Amino acid sequence: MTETSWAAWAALKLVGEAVVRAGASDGDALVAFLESAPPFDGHKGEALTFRRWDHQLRQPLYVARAAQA
Amino acid sequence: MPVRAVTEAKRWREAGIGVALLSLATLGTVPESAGAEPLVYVSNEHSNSVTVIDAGSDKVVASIPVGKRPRGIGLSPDGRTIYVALGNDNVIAVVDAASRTVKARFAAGTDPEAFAVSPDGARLYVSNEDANTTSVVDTKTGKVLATIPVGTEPEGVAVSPDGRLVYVTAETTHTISVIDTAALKRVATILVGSRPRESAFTPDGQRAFVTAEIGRAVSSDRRGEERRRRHPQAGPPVSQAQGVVVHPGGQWGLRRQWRDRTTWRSSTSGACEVAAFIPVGTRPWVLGITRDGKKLYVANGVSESVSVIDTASEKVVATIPVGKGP
Repeated sequence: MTETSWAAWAALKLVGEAVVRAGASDGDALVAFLESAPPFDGHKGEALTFRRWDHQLRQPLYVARAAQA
Repeated sequence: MPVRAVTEAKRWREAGIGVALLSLATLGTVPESAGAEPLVYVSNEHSNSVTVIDAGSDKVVASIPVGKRPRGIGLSPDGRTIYVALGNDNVIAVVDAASRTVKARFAAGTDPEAFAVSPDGARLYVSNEDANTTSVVDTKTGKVLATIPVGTEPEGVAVSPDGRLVYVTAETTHTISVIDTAALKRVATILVGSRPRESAFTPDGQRAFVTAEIGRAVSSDRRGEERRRRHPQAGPPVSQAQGVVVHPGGQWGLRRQWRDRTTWRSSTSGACEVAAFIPVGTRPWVLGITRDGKKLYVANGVSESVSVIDTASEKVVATIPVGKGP
């Protein structure tokens, strides 16, 4: 999965879940819901949340070290 | 996020799933029969075997070879038959508890993972993780009676004590699919916390507890009108919830969380709060409780051991080495 495709997948999943959980599809209701920092499942083993003051998506990053073959 | 990091994340995730699968094997306990202590059965995903533990002495008394990648395990109500889901063989192995040999293999849909035995022993309800279905298997004939669509990535299966409802968790859609066992149809879908794993009913069947791995909570659902969408109540915020059992006395539910190597209990009446944290091995994944409720067994996937907890004192009283990936 490329960077762009991951972002598209995550965005659609987050918005879809927000509509279902907030029980509404208008912008104000969705923003209020997302700002309440509900835990989203990004299939990374830890919850993803939006930081309230700048709306940045907080998510785990994995650090790997390449070994010489 | 750079492409490389995504790739690494994907690799990590695959490795994580591998570890998760390694630990998904389940525990089963049988009732005490005349003069004999109950036995505990532990499936070892990477040893292709089931370890038998005597719950009186907490010693390993046998190891049964069963087939490829044993995961979910269940027992007939009379304790005479052990069922084991074999993920890589796409079957449920039927093991005779007396001779400790595999006597039959039921085709149970693809990728059988978790399942539950009906209270009368007549059926198995099996979640097919890659097909988003639940297969209903007749234990007399081994035939699939129905294949019922459920949520995406189904996992834990629980049957209500009266046998009328089956709850199937779906990890990706964060839902419980409610199956009416008479009609063999899905009659309701309940939205719960993120990434639900397992559920367990209270003995009176009035409430079920659902663990949400990402939602960091246990949801509890008070059953009312079965066909109406229910509103689960939020539970205590704890991370990485996986398995859950309810004490047969109904006083409390138990759940383990692997990240903190702990198991906790919470009251099933009134407010749902964490009452205790009990340190166990690494990556506790599933729980089994004896039918008298005195002992709780926790499979530690990474430690390759089973912790035995005395439920009265809430202390670990034994740690039993088992096979790989219990």
